[in-house]
Amino acid sequence: MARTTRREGVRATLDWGTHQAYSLWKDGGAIRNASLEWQDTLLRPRGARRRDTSGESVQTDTEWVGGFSASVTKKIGRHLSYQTGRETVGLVFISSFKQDGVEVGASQWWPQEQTFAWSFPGLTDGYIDASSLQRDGGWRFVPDMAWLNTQNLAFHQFHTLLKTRGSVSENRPGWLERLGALIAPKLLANEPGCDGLHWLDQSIFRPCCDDHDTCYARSDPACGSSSWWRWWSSWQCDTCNIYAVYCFASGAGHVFHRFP
Amino acid sequence: MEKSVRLAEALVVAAVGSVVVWALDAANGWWLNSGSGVLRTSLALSGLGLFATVWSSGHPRTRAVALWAGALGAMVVLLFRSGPGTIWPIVLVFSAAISAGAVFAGTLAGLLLSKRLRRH
Repeated sequence: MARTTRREGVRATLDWGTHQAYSLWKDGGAIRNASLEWQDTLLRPRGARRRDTSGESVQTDTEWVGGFSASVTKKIGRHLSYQTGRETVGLVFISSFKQDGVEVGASQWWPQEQTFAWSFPGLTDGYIDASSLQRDGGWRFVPDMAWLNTQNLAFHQFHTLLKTRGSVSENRPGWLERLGALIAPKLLANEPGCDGLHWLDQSIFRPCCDDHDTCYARSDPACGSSSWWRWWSSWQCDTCNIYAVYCFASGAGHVFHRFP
Repeated sequence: MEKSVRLAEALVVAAVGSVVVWALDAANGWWLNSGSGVLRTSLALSGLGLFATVWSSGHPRTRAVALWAGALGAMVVLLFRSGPGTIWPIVLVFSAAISAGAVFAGTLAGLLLSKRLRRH
């Protein structure tokens, strides 16, 4: 047993515990004869050569209550590059997400392309890369195996809620809050789905709203509700709006023509 | 006199439409955010449309248009009060179309019922 002071950057998660246990096991007898010291986020025998335990992991399994589990493996894979469209070979982390032992979705992280792709049939699919995260400063962390599994749980949980309830959270204001809203209305941020038309969140119009939200998020300067009446301020926003109107007007035809 | 009566009729019915839409919003939230909200508000507006036109005296068609205008006016205010979303013009088009359908369906039923009542 070791008692230490709190180490900045160390969060005692299950994943950290696994890496720490593996590292101590690898250090073997050395930990009996030497005092311990922090090396980044791991306790190591003083003076030991640095070790990257995450680089040595080939598989991580995670289980949650409710019969959910995910298993991520590291391998060399072949796929059509998201960047070039050509077949490429490279390192890939593949996470399979299961409910009661049956796979319900999967995700992949291609470190060389900095691309994360996912597919949860009937719920969500897509991919993001550094360019689509550009407005948010790119990848702000290095996706690891534990993150892939946890992100899969989030995809499944939140998109199931969106599909069944139309939202991921529900606010039922009390009479006092409603009374307060009459005097000082709150400003609402953009919501997933069709803002002000959530009744249509499960309909063929949903992709119109999602594409419009994505289009707004990509635009620089950022678009908002005022972009509709301040049409001269940004042609990017106008393009998003015109496309949304066309999408609603053309109905189901849109589903097969996603906004680029 | 005729004009002022017509105007008074329209204002009263428009106010009733606004108050009903406002009350439904206060009780259940924005009506286009759920299927039950759409059904509830549509039924209420149809009922009001029928009620506004079942009596043939006065100007039933003016009352119907005023009812729709009052309800739509309240919807516009409510939508902007709660913060217009990113597709608010489309939301308003839907609001106008569905509320018009509900009000004028009720109006049609009211006019037909009114004719029938007059025959007997």
